[in-house]
Parts: sequence; structure tokens; C-alpha cells
Amino acid sequence: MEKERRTKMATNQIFGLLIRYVGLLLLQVFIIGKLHIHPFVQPNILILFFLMLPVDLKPGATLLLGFLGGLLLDVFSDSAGFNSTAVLVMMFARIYYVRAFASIDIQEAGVRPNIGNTGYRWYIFYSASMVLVYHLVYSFIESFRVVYFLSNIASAIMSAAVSLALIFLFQLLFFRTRKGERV
Amino acid sequence: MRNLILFFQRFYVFFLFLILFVLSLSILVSNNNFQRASFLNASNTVTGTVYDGVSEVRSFFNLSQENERLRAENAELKGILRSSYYVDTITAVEVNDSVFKQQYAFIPAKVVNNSIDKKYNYITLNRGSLHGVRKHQGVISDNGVVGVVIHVSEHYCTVMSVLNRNLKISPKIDSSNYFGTLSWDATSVKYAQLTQINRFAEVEVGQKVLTSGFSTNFPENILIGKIDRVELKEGGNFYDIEVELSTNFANLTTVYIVQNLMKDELNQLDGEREEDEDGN
Repeated sequence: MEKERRTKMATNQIFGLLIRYVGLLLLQVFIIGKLHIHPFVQPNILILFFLMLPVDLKPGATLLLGFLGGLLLDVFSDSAGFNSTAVLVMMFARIYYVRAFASIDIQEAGVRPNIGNTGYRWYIFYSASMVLVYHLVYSFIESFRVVYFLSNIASAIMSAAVSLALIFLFQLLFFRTRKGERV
Repeated sequence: MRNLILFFQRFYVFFLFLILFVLSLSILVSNNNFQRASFLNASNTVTGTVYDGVSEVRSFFNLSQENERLRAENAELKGILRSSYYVDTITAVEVNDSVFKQQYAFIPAKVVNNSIDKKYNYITLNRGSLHGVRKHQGVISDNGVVGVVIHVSEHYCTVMSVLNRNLKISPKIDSSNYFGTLSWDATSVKYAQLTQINRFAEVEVGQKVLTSGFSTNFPENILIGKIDRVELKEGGNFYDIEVELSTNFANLTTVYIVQNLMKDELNQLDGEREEDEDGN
């Protein structure tokens, strides 16, 4: 009985993850990706999916999910290798970020970090660092040249700001805390 | 041996990261260095079909606008008919240009995916090798130059747009025939930068910038844009020229792929010319 219940829970979780991934992917490819804000500002909402993976996911699985998830976005946005590399580096950084900065509660409970269950302050630092890592890597491998060093950094910071705004909008809409946690 | 296995076990996260990182970097390098392998880009049949469906829906909302534009274009072409030799085949329109003794065929194509918001923009068209599209062929719209074909699959092709920091075209300035290098600095979708124009050339704001016909990809005198701003740095030998592009990339729907029917002959003359060109 117990085993059956657990497998059912696991399938539900995987199914939920899949739906979230596909939803955010479509949103990114067909809406956010077509916003045409400026060539230097390219936000990515799919990062939210990777940010929300459970923290107790095995490191190997985390890396593989990041790589494959980024690769599929690449296929749709015609940017072979850009997203898979950037997301992979972000996920690698995430493993160590969570180990270093997440409280024991968060680490052991295996939460899927969102603004409600980690608190505003922690979530802001967490998402800002991860998004910045992603956009810096993306920006540099996109140009693949040192000549554009400063413009790449500017581009990464601007993109990261817009991505963060989108992620927070999502978080506030769907995961607002009920405990009344404040910064 | 056991120690080695233990060592790998202990640091497996790092090694897995390294392996995946090298893998994705190799995907990146092998696919973005002008030649992009077919299985990972939008000319791939799977993603191409998805984009086809979406663009079908989108194009429905542009129908009336598009009709009006096509009607205007038809009228213009009819005006030219009397004076030019015109062959209508199923897939391409051939025009005989007797003055330059050069033959160009134009394959009409529909834009199924287009980006303008990146620093390296690509366009996907619904024509491929089955319709006679080959690598390095030029792409124009009725307003001007659009880009160069860089990858071809059976039914689709990927075009490196003028709005791509890697594309270099060598255009000339109308009337003076001075030629330079056109590139894009990714700051505005409306302007590209023309460099390498000698400071002794007479350059004025408003002059047209046209294709030079030195390359086998574009017919001569296809409009690229007009000069918007001219700057000459003190002591510099070359002008910095800002060119207002005539093609509106934001609502590109119908384009023509330029087929140079004498390209083989020209290439034979120039030996390994195609290899050196690198898409210009």
C-alpha cells in the first residue's frame, strides 16, 4: 500500500514538472522570445523551471535535467548549444549555492524553492545569482569574442533584470506566502 | 585501480558537469560556426513544421495587409513586363538581363520564423534543396537585401539576416561606385554600419547604398538602404557611415531567394572561390 502510494506521488510529481516545463517553454518560445524589446535585452522565463526543481534532487540528475532542458529550448529558439551550456553552468552553480546558503530545513525537506516556502530575502538572492550566472554565460558564448566584453556584461545585466522581474511576477501571482513572511 | 574508482565516485558531479559542458560546447561550436548541423536548428523538419503551423495562424491576421502589398508589387512587375524577358516556371521566375549577360532566377519563399531581437538573427524560409535552394544564395525582399542562405534542408532553409553581427556584405554607394563593408552593430534594427569607404570618396546623406555585384550571390544594384549619417574621424582614412536599411525586418513575410544560374560557370573560373567566400 505504502509503496503504491509513493510511486503514485512520484508519477504525479513528474507529470507536474513536465506540464510546468512545457508551459514555460511555449511561453518563452512564442511570447517572451517574440517581445523584441532590444537586441541587448533577451529575458528567459524558462529559468524559473530550473530554479523550482527540488533542492534534494541528486546532483547528477540536476545537471542532466539542466542540459536536456536547455537543449530542447535551443532546438526551438534556433540557438544550438547556447541555452544548454548556460543552463548547465547555472545548475552546476545551483548545487553549490544550495549547499552553501540554504538552511538545513530547506535542504532536508527537499522543497521546491518558491517565494512562499523560502522567504523573500533568501529567494531574491537565490534567483538573482542564478539568473545572473545564466545571462552572463549566455551573453559570452553568444558573442564568443572578447572584443565585446563590456557590451556583453551590460547585455547580461539588462537581460537578467528583465528575467528577474518576470520570475517575480510569476512568483507573486502563484506562490505568495500565506504565513505573512516579510523581508 | 580501486582508488581511481573511488576518486571518480567522489567527484562524479564535477566530472559529469565537465562531460556535459564539453558536449554542449561542441554542439555550440559545430553548429554556430556558419555551418549548423541539421538536427538542432529550425530548418529541422520537426521544429520547422511546428513553426509552419504557428506562422500559418499568424499570417491569417496579416492577410489583408499582405494582399494589398502583393497587389502593389504585381502592378509594379506588370509595368516592367513589356521591357523585359520573362519566363514563368513553376517554382522560379527567371529574368534575362542582357546588358550584364547574367541570369538570375528568383524563388519566392515565405518566412516561417524570423528573429530581430537578438545580436545574431536568423530567418527560416519554407523553401529547401527540393526547390533549388543552395548554400550562400542571396535573399532579397521587394524592399531590399535580406540576408544569405547558410543552411539548407529538404523543405526549409536558414538565412543569416543582415541583422547579424557575423554577416558582412560588400555594397557600393550609388553613382560614385565606391565600395565598402556593411556590418551590423546590434544597436538598432533600422540601421547598419558601412565602413571601409575611402575618405576621398564623395559621400552625402541620402545617397543610396546598393549591392555591388562583386559577389555571385546578389544581382547588381539591389537596394540595401540609404545613407543616414556620415562621420569622418580626424586623421582617419575611412568614413563611418550609418545606413538606414530599406528592408523592414519586423514584418517580413514574403522574400525571394536569388538563384544565380551562371554561378557554376563563374565559380569554375574563379577556382575555389566559393570556399573563400564564407557566405558573403
